[in-house]
Amino acid sequence: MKTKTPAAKTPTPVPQASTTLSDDQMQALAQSFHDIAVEIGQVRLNAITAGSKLTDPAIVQLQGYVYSLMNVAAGFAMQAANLTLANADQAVNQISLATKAADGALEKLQNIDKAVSIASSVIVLAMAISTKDPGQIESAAKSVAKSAGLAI
Amino acid sequence: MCLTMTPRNLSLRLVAVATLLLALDGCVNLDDAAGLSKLSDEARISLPRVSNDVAGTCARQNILFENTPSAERPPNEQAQDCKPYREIADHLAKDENVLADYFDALGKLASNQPMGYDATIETNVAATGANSALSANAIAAGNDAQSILKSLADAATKGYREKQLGQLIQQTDPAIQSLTQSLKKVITVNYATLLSNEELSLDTFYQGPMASAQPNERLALILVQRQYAQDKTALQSRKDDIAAYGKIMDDIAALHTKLKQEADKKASIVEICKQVRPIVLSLKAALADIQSRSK
Repeated sequence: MKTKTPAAKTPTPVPQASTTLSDDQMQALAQSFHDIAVEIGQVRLNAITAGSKLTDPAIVQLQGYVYSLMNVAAGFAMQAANLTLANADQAVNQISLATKAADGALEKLQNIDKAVSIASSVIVLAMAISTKDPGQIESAAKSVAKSAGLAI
Repeated sequence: MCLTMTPRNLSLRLVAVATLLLALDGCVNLDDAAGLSKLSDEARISLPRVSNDVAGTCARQNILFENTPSAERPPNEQAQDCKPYREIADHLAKDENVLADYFDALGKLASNQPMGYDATIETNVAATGANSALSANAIAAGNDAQSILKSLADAATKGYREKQLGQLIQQTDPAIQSLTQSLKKVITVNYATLLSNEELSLDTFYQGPMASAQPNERLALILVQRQYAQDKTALQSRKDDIAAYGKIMDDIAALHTKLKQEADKKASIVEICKQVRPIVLSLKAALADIQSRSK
């Protein structure tokens, strides 16, 4: 008796599991964005102390980033409980690495243009998180790391 | 053994028991033992003073934003929308109210008074319904509050009296433990982040202009420095409230655990008095602490 060998199946792509971020993960994100806002505020203050005017475009821009990052932090802390991401742990890891790099780079930064560039990439990362698209998050996290001088 | 007692001996015994009870701060039932009704009244005053500030901090940050000259901020930057924070504060106040209602109900049952909660329960259950815009902790608190309200509704419907008190305490303990921890986390973690944001807003608002002040603005600078220091003190007081709130939630959880343990053991009122007194004192102190700061 002949036995039939099963036809070779074409492998179907395994869908990425989506996970809702835990409250601790949300809080960690909130804290990261808040910390970056603090660092940007410090860069702005240092520049003012060094002679920049409150109305200088770069100072105004940094002020805007401080507001935006605080709003992002507040949103993560209190409201956005339903943030569900594909490969959530991996995404949170990427975000965490990027925001730590940004925080570290801003800490010793004197160059205001560089601060503007880092802050702007962090804002893009926050927007990418809100799209919940893993591709956009990964790409934005890489941009933050790159602008902070971290090669990934 | 003498089984009969003369009226004089009986009177002496009654006096002795009454003296003992007075010595134990007048403990004649569980409500006296734990001061449940009084605690519930104090909690209704103190807890919302902290949780209402979830919306308060948003409003204060907006005032700072609006008082920043428009030339010093990007033209497209908007003040925060405080409505979601007001909703969260309302939600928290309702959850805190459930906690207060529960301890008040325990107090009433302990002194064998009718609970009379039927009217309010339905409204509260509906009002604490799920709100998808809340943090996970706030949602958990809302679910626990609903569970406690249902137990209270059940107890009211079945006409619970003092002897069913232990049953109610055992039945609601998981929800009380969970609700207190969720409320604690919303305030000590989530709201604390909002206050950190407010601190950054304050620093940004004052420090920039102070750093760029001209030598001929010396007196104006002194006034601004004083105002800044005053605002920082007020902020610190709110941070102290966070610590007190966390302690209150821990104490309420510990008090309920103790009541449950004593109910399991069918302990005497005197024993319950002894066991819960330190927790009740700590709880009263933390509640008074918040009230003293808000004066």
